[in-house]
Amino acid sequence: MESLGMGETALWLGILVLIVSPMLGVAVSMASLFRERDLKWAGVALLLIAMTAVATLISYLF
Amino acid sequence: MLFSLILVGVLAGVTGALFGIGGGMLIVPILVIFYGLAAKDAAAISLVGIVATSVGASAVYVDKGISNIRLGLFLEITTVIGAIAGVVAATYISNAALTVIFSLVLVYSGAKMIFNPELAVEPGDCSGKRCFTYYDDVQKKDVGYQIRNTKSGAAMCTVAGVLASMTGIGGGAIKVPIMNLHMHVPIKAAAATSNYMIGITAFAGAVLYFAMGDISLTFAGAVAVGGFIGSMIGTKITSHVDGKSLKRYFSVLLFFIATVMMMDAGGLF
Repeated sequence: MESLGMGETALWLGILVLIVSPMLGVAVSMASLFRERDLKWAGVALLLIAMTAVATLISYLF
Repeated sequence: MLFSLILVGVLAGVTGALFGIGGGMLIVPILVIFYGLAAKDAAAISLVGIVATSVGASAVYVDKGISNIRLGLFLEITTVIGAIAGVVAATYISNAALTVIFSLVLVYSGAKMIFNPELAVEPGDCSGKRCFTYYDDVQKKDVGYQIRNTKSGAAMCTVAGVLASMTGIGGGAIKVPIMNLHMHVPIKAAAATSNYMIGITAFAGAVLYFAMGDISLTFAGAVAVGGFIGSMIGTKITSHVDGKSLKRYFSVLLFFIATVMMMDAGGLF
């Protein structure tokens, strides 16, 4: 991200927000499922978020 | 160039919303053939476009209750594992090999569309804990369905995840037949659920490419804008089009694109 102009920075941020939005949706689904006391499926959503985060981190590091 | 990229995104978004795919099958070959990008670069841009298509389409389908979020979350667990493996694998595979793999996926998807009819799920099949319903706009009634073969379906989705990340598609063309034919989800619910899932699958690949700086911001931004617009259009027209004929024409297009991609990989262009 070195030496990006304002336009490119905005574009970089916009694409970053877009890319993470599906996982934000999963987080919202998880919160909604917790509120409905549907703990089994809320757990599935939490597992998905955790696995995605860990797998992405491992892949990035290696 | 920007305008043409946005148009590419719109085309991908419309087809994506109609068929439950992300449009990567159009984005990748167009970027490779007409813009001269390497397959891996095109795949990275395509994944961003797929996220945009998914965001646009799933916002409508989730709101209407057609997408089965619970099923999507469950299947995504194994799909994401495959997607991460696919990104890692893509770094070790040559551009030509990636192009060939992509072409084979297109041929498979096209053949599936022509030779495997949809499974018509009969109303009243619904009983027990894996029973879900959605309201069908065309039939004007609630449609119930019972999901079957969940474990094998989840395992198959791992393959979808690998191919998705490796080739820059969302995997919807593989997931929709898995859900419909193997897991007995009605085709509309399968396509809508796939639209929800492909964004998550594409995220897994896109975030890695983004972190490694492998995404052209201008290309990705333009395709994403077009993809979002196209998905909005696609969700509006989906109940007005004849799905069977459209699938046949789309299959022919996929075969044509696969042929051109193979020729490109073979250096004939």
